[in-house]
Amino acid sequence: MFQYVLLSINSLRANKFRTFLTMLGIIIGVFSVITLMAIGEGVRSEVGSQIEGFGSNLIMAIPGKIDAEEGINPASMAGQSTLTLKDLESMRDIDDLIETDAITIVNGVAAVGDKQSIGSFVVGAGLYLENLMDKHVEYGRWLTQKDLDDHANVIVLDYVAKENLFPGEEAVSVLGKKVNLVNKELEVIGIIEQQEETDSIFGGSSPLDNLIIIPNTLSFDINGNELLHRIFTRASESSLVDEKIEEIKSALIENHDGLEDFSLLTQEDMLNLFNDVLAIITSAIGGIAAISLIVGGIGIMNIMMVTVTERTKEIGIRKAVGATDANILLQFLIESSLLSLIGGLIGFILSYAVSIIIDLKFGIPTAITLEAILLAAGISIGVGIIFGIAPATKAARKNPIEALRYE
Amino acid sequence: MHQIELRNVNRVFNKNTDNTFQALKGINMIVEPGDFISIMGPSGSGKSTLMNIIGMLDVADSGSYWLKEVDITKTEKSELPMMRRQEIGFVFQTFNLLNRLSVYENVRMPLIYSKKKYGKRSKVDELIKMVNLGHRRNYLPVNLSGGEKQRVAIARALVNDPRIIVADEPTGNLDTKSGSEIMKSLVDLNKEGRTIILVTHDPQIDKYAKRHFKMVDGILTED
Ligand SMILES: Nc1ncnc2c1ncn2[C@@H]1O[C@H](COP(=O)(O)OP(=O)(O)OP(=O)(O)O)[C@@H](O)[C@H]1O
Ligand SMILES: [Mg+2]
Repeated sequence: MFQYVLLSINSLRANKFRTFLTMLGIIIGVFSVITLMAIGEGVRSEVGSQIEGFGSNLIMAIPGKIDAEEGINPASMAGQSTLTLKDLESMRDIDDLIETDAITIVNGVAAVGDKQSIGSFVVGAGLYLENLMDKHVEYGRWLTQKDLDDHANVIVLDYVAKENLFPGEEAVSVLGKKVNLVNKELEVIGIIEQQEETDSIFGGSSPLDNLIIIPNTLSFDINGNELLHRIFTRASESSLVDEKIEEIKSALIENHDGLEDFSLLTQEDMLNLFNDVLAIITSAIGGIAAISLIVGGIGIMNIMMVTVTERTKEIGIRKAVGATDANILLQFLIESSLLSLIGGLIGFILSYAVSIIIDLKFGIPTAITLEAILLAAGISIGVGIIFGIAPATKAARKNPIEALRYE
Repeated sequence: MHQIELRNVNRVFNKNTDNTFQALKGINMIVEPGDFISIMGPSGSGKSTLMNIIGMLDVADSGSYWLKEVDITKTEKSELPMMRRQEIGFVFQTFNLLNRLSVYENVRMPLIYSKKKYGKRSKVDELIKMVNLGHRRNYLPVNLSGGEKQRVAIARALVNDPRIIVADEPTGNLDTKSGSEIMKSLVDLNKEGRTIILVTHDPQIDKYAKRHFKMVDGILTED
């Protein structure tokens, strides 16, 4: 067996450029499968655990109508938010809902001197978001009622945003420093530390990190309106969730003149929604990957057919010295599998590199799992064998006398 | 028991077509261990066809071919490579070396297919020295002369220690000097007790043999 591997390496090396071109399809196929899996797996486990971290009692109101059957209607998600401070107050008036709070998304980039916090999620919030999102201030303090009343120029940073704006500085020493946001100078009052190690094998940050929080009153000033983008609340008992959703729904419909232009999601809804979206993206890219693997496989078959013809004489010689049909079959099957496996390996290394870059540059978590590694190896060997069978059979069946006469 | 016995062997090409052609007509031949046989005859008379049948690369259409008490014409096709490997060493007019492999790798190549003998490196080197190519061990065939190439082929034919060497015009592509070197090697092998079956056009080469056959139009006769 090992002998055949050596033989194959020898013959693949004899035609390096052709070998590389043949591998391209497999390289691209395996690269896309593994990168996709790495991102999908990373995002899924990170976002999944974030959503689970909200607790099963969480209820979230979002603008736009999401139909569980028809999925998301993108048009309803775009444009202005439909949620108002009045909705927030209505929800606070409902019994058995605790820590009701909202966020307002601010379009702005926080900066300190020439350092900017690119990719930060800047939100206006109230008193309870800290508990709701399970993001606790480690140094300094969270927003107070006074901050809200005063439209205070204060800001809370999480550890990612802090590193972007004050790289390398001690969290404590950052407190009291100034951060610029949309022509305003804000004082850092609190730092949210990293919660725990992420479970991605390459580390990395989670999608809800890189968060910057300011008083919601201040965010209204900046945005020029008092619209809310999300309202969060928690039922005091998980058994109350369904009942409370109905109550919130009727209250909000009343506020919105009978129009149901919002959606109420539970933790389970969010997980399902998220998994649905991920599944759609995964199958789309998975389809592309499958096509490129098939194209790659056909490329391998084509080149192996050429190789078998070119090496007719060799096949004759090997048979003359005692090689069986099975020996020849195995030799060419191993060659096509190895061709494909090396392609798969290159694809895998590329996707490993790219997923690290994606993680570091864009903060999208990635996770290359053992399953992904086995899948890459399996796919590429499988493609090599499946598309190698026809050429290898052709080689094995060659008549030795005619093969020896071939020039 | 003879080493080889051919009884009324026929080989017909393109059977059931317009250009059907009988290349071998009722061949009878007995070979004893240690024979040195030469077969002469005009081009197209069927010499190579006979060599291929003896070497089990081809199968007779009728008649029987006994090799060491086994009737090859009745043997499973899948078992022929194993028989060939154990009993026959081929030497060809065109050397038939693998160009991408070194001298050493070419000589070792048949061992890949014979599990029990695999790994006998020393044997490979011994054979390379025996054909006086120790200094060319890692050369590729392109860098060898014709005579050297044929000596590699002889070493390769011997690596499984076969009792019979089938040589189809082994000196056909060589000058007289290289040709007589090759013949000396074959004579030595014959002295070791190996059977040599040789095809040649050259009367000078024919002289090395102990038994002389003529092939004319597919009919074999012994002088
Ligand atoms: N596979 C084949 N199909 C059809 N005819 C064949 C085939 N192989 C050989 N022949 C024919 O059989 C005859 C004998 O061929 P063979 O190769 O045995 O001749 P030879 O005696 O070895 O000739 P040379 O001295 O030129 O090598 C030739 O006429 C050849 O054309
Ligand atoms: Mg011939």
